[in-house]
Order: sequence, then C-alpha cells, then structure tokens
Amino acid sequence: MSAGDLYGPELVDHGNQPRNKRKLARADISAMRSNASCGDEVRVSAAVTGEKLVDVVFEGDGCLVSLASASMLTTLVKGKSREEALALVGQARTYFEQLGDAPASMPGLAAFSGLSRFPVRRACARLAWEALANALVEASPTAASRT
Amino acid sequence: MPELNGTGVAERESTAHGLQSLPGVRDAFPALSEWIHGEPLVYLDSAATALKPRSVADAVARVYLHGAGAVDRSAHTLGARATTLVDRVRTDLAEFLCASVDEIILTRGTTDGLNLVAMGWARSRLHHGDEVLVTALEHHANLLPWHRACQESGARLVTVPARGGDIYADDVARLLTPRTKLVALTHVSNVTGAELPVAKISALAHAVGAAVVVDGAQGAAVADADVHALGADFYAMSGHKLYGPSSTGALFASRARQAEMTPVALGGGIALRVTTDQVTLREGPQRFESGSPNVEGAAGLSAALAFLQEIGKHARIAHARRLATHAAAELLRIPGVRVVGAPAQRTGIVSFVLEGVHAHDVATWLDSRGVAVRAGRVCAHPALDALGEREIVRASFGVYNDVHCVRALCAAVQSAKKTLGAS
Repeated sequence: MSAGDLYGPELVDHGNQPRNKRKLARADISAMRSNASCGDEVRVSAAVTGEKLVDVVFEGDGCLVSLASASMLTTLVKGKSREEALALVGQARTYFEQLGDAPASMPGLAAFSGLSRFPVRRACARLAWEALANALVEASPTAASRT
Repeated sequence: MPELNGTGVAERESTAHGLQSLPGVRDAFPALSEWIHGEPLVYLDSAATALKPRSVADAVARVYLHGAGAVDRSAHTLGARATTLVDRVRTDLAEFLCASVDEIILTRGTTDGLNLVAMGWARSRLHHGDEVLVTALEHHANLLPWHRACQESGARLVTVPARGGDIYADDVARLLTPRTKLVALTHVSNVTGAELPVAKISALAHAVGAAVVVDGAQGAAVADADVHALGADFYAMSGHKLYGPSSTGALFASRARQAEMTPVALGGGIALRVTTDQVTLREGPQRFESGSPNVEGAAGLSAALAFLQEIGKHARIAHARRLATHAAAELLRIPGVRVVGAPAQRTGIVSFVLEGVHAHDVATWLDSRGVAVRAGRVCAHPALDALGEREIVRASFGVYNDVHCVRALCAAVQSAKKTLGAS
C-alpha cells in the first residue's frame, strides 16, 4: 500500500466482510445516523445485560470506510460497560479528528490513518461511532436494560 | 490499461476523431500543473465547477490591484471603470446567449436565477388548480423552488418521466394541459449528460400557453445556449461552470416576462426615485439587481467568455461530446461497470456505477491516482431514484480534457475494481 492509499488490507477486509452486520432479535439500545453528503445510513444496536454490552451489531449500507468502521466498532465495544463504551467513543472521535497515533485501547483504528490525506471521508468513519454515542446516551428503543 | 474485448485502445483512439487536446488550451490553465497525491491532476469534474484560465485570474486580480469603485454610484474614475466592467459583462452574456442586453439579469448563478423566477414571476401567477411540469431529471435547484411555489399556491407539480436517462417531447406532450402554466426543465441533465429537446418542448408548452424555464447550469457549458432558438422564456446559467468566477451568472428573461416580474430583493440600485412612502423602480434588468454588483466577478466572467469565444462554440461543444461518448464506450468495456442512462444526445457528462464498490470509494480511489470526479447523489435525488441508482460516479469533460484523461480514468477504475471489490 502506498502512502496515498486509504484502502489497506484490514480496512478492505472489514469493509467487504463486515463483522456483526446483522439484526438483533431484541435490541436494548439502538440508534441510526445518516451521512448527509451521500445518504448512507448506519444503525448500531446492542443487547445490554446490567451495565454490559453483551452483543453489539450494526445494519446499513455504505462505503468501505463506513462499513469497516462500523465492523471494527462492534468488535471493539462488545463486552464493555456503557461507561467504557462511551470512553471509547470519545477516543475514536478524537482519533478521527486528529488522525495521529491510534489510541492504545484501539490500535486497530490505525487502519484508518489514510484518512489524513482524504479528510472529506472522516465523516464516513465517524458515522457508526456517532450512532453508538446516540444509542448509549438516548438508550433507545427501551431505556431499561435487562438484568 | 490492459486490452479488453478484442480491439485495442490505441486502435479505437486512432479511429475516433477529435479526442486530442484543443490547441493551446491546456497551457492556459495553471491548475493543470498541480500534482495530487503524487500524480498529475486529471480534472474530470467540470460539471461541478470548471478550472479557470489564467486570463480569468488576471482579470479578477486587475480589479483588486488597480482598483474599481462602486457600479453606477461613484462619479469618480474608478466608479466609471467598475460600471464599464459590469456593462461589458452584460453585453458579453447577451452575445453568448444570443439575446439582447436588456434581457440579461446578472445573478449569483443558476440557483439564484431560478429562485428569482419562482419568487419574482411564478409566485404571483400560479393559482390553485394550475400545473407546473418538471422532468424526472431535474437538479434540486430546478425542483425545490417549484415544490415551494406549488405548496404556496395550491398548484400541482407534475413530473415528466425519464426513459433511458433521457426526456422525450412525446412524454411532455401527453402531460401538457390548458392548466399547465409553467414547464421547468434542464437543458442538460447533470446526471446522465442528456441534452433535452428543449426547442421541441418549448413549442409544445407555448401552444398551451405555458412559460418555459430552462436550467442552463450544465447546458451553457456543453450545449448551444441560444435562448431564442431554444424558445426559453427564462434561461438561468452560472459563470463558474463556464470557466469564470464563482457567484457569477445570468438569468435571461424575455422582455415580455420581465414586464410580469416583481423584484425579490429590494434595496440600492433598483429605484429611480424613493420617498418615504413611494418607490419608482427603474426600467430594465437592473431593477432585479439590488445591491452592489460583483465587479471582479464581472471582469472575470467577461474574460472567461472571451476565452471561450476564441475556442469557438461548436469546437467547445463537440469536444466535450466526443470525449464523453468515448469515455462511456471505454468504461463499458470494463467488466462490472454500468453506464447510467443512454441518452439520445450525450453531452460532456458520463455517469457510471462500478458494481460492488461504493461510489465514494471509487471517487477517493481515483483521487489517490490524481483523477478528480464527482460521486454521490449529485443534488438530484429524484433523478437517481427514477434511474434506480443509489449513488453514482460522474466524470465530466471540459475544454482542457483529452483522450489521455479518458485513459487515466479507465485505468484507475480498473485498479479500483481489483483492489476494492469484494473477492
């Protein structure tokens, strides 16, 4: 991969074969975000037991960048508490904004380092993370988690 | 680029006439010497906005460097200089559109012009039960103003369907009725590149007493914008797609229609006399141009029109058509590429889809190879819905493109398919 390329093997793999791209039989939290520039939509949902996100999935169609980011999100956030998940959202936001070193907690995000040369595509990478942030804060569709 | 389907690229290029550069044109565009991600720029996004020749940059710079006053206001020499520049661009635009000087209203661009027609002409003339015809290929700029005009008046918006990414006069004829007060259509589709049969449609519309509003954002650059030959009552165009400065443009409005219009923006420059309770507006197009005109824009647009005149209208139009037609044929040779629409008369635009790869990924991949294209829904959501496409990649050709640009485009699309497509 040359320096100019955004599409490294890890990003293309996650984008073309996204993990956890499915629907939950019952989602405790769920939110959708869309990208105004292209119309892509991503919905992130999770099953929550106590404070823990025991399953995290996404639905939607989009570009490789948004699908890869959503795919990676599900693998990074699954098993975390709500508080830990919100902290990861904050770190991901900072990373996509500054595109410096990937956070120590999520070294896999380095797959998106090529965004520094294609800044208009940052919104694609942020899409799923913003959906998760909404889901965690708004706790839709049901505020109550299973215990 | 590997050879595909028998005939070689070199052979096809040698048998296609007029694919080489227009003499001396590329050297006139300083931006073409830019390198993008380590590759020489191949600019295929003129339908979004065109690059500017040095003469345009020089004309704009002269206004700033040597000074120009306020148009039609200041009595000093710099004021006169500014007035001359704005008068000149009106004359140049009239010549470009084959119209009279008093039929040219200076605007900030096509969107501005179309909104002026909707707010300043249609709003007071549309009534409950009237119909406004638009086509399925309209850009939002020629759709949203009519949505609102219909909502406010109770008129009905009727859509002429597209067939094969084109609009046919027969379909318009079937939908015209004595209730049709207005037909709003694009000269050239910003999605499929189709040149619509505007003259035929205008004749049909006028026969039922409807006015014709033409969106010339694309057409002015890649088709013949002879407004009287087209039969347009209104023709809106932008300067920045004509190699001129941003926020410049014109609305052609026939004298008869101007007499029916009301200024939308009120303020300085449009009145002959104002008292505390009465206003006497001036005659002519200036009464729709409230506020201080864009002097540097006028200077730059005049320079752009002079540049285009030197190339020649027919050479400019034919060059873009030939390149886009060649590009469509070459793209179709790449497995997995679908060209969007098969218009009867293609202009300088070709849109396509690479199966299995999102349009924005294709565009970013092309950008990494120095090839600039547009991707997405191109401000024409209903048009894409009608064509059954979620998003598209659009390559558009201008006076500075040549066969090498088509070759670079196709090579980059092939490598995008190889790297980004699901295996």
